[in-house]
Amino acid sequence: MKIDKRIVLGLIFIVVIVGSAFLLEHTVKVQGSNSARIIPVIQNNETIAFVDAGVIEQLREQEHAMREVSEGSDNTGEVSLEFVLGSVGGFDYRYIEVKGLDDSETWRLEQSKLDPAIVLSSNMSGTVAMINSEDGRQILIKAIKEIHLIK
Amino acid sequence: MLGRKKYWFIIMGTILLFTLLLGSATSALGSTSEGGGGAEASSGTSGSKPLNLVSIQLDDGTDVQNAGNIPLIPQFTLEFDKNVVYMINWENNRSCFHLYENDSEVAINVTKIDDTVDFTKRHYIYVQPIEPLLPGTDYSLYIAPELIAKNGNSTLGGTTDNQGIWIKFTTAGQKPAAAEEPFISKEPGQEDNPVSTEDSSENELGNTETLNTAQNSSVNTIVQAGEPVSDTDAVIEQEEIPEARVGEEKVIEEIPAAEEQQTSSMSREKYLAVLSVVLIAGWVTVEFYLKRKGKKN
Repeated sequence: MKIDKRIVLGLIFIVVIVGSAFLLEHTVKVQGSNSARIIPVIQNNETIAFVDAGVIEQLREQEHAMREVSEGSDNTGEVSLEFVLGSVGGFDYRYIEVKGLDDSETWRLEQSKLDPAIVLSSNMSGTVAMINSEDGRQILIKAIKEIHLIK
Repeated sequence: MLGRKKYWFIIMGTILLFTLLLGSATSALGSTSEGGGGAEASSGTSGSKPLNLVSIQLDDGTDVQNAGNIPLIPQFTLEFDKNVVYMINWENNRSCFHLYENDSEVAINVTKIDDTVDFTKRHYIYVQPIEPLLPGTDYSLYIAPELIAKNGNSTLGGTTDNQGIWIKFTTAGQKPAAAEEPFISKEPGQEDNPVSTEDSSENELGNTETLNTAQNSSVNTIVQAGEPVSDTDAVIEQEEIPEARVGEEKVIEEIPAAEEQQTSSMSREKYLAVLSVVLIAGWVTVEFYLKRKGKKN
């Protein structure tokens, strides 16, 4: 039986559309990751979540809403790294390693020493900075590229 | 020429039909998946769509509810009918899960696969005890009514009269011998009333440490502070049921209803995939039919 040329073309068209959608998603993630606009959180060499400045902003609101209920605090500062790591589902890790867009920027800390004063703040460029809110707002990482949770 | 026009009309009609079907399927199915149960779902909070527990299973697919042979290091997979892993709600949702052995809480890991990594796993939460469970022991997994879906409105409390859900199961194997035969010896001169149930009735879940310490002077069975309390202490713990258990029986009965809902409705992705395959197959058939007809003419 001879297959109609148009059927073949139609099927190819569908495959190309589906493939393009996946490729586009992958490209956006890679480009976002390279420009630090999308931050992958990696645990045991597996990405467990992606966060961006928008999510950080929402998490900030959520953390403050929860604090208001539990502590009566009305602090409207930034979201703590601790809260972000809990929200992305990170667990059973010993160290946190945060890498900056500039390869020389790497920050590592034991989980037990994680301080709520270490906060994440979104930048104007759509990237996210890590700041020590108690130490004169010292910028620890200017633009976070990756967060690693190490066992 | 007319034949070609007819061809194009049929193709355009097929595309239009495809679009309409896809659109209606998306809107109709959206109400059963992300949005919530629609008319067939159980009642929830007024104005919000209900959130239901669909199933709780082990890795091998064993249903956990009232099961009697649960391994000592189980991983429970809880399926809900909405997105419960959303990052913004996760800190709240993670704290909604508690595992109890009698009245003492057992430490657990509550994990998820984030929907930014795998969207298909957004309805699943995984619960695993940190330490192996005791053999032949009854456990209860409690899901608090505060569990909330991504839409920010649907809570588990809406479908469980704010009671949450209790899931009971028993671990495999024999109960440790010490726990089977409570051995309580009295010291000379001690009265025949080693434990006051009146005192214990004032204790809640976290107070087992206080209880155990109080018993050590009169009871030979040594219980380490913070350790799960065995049946040896049944005398101490009887009637010491947390308030949340009041609606236990009622809540447990609600789970089969949620399971029915699951069996009656496939997930949105499955529906769309099946629909797409059927439409593509239909299109190919129509093309063949038209080609055959064209040859005959």
